[in-house]
Amino acid sequence: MLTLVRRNALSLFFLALFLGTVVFQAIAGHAEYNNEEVDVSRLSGDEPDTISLGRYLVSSSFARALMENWQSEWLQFVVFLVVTVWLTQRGSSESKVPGEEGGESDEEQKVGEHAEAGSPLWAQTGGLRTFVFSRSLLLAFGTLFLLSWLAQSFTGWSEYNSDQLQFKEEKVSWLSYLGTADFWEQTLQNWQSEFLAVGTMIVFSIYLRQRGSPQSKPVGAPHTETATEG
Amino acid sequence: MSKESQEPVAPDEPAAMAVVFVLYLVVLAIGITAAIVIGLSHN
Repeated sequence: MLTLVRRNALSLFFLALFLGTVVFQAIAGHAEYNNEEVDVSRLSGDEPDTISLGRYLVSSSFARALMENWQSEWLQFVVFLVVTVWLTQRGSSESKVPGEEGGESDEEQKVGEHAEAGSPLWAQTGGLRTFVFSRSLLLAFGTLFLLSWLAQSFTGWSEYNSDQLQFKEEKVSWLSYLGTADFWEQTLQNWQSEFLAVGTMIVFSIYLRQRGSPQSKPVGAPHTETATEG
Repeated sequence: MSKESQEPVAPDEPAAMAVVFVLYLVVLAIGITAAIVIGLSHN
């Protein structure tokens, strides 16, 4: 059992880290939500409409905060997966070697008649199944991106209309909300940080190293060496 | 580009890997579904 945990430690560690940070995000978000309610009520002269932690956990405010960050992470992976098929960066551990752009041959990808004994079944069969399996990571991340972006739009819409009512203005339709600065500011503030982070990883991995990490080139690898892992 | 793994795989390891995969799927499904339901139900 201990061995199984150790051999899956990387994914279990990040799952635990995710759950832990979500708990603290909820606690901090709940406190901030109620602080804002108190501030707004002080200005309007109404009673503050503060809520319990349990109510905050099922609020659009909390759900929107989660979803706007989730969607941008999946988008980052989608773009990274697709673009690294076709574009290269000399010296980066995140890039293929220049000249190897494209989907590569069946032999290189070990599909169809080139599949090995341990290859997944859908890599061996050929046809539609191999076509889908060859893009399954992109399809999964793409679906997660679209669903979490949709969830962000619904929760953001709900929050937006709640604010509209609070300030005695008209509620808007979902389609109208998609055209608001509110939706796009929340979306783009997350996208920009993801693209900058990916670009930084690509460029920094040319000249900088982390000994022992598969995300880095070996410490002694030349700066011009591309697509090697340390 | 990943290094070829030469490590022997114990019989129960594929099942453990599948459990981790399903764990992540469950977390993602619960999170996204809950957010969609919350967003729609409050409107």
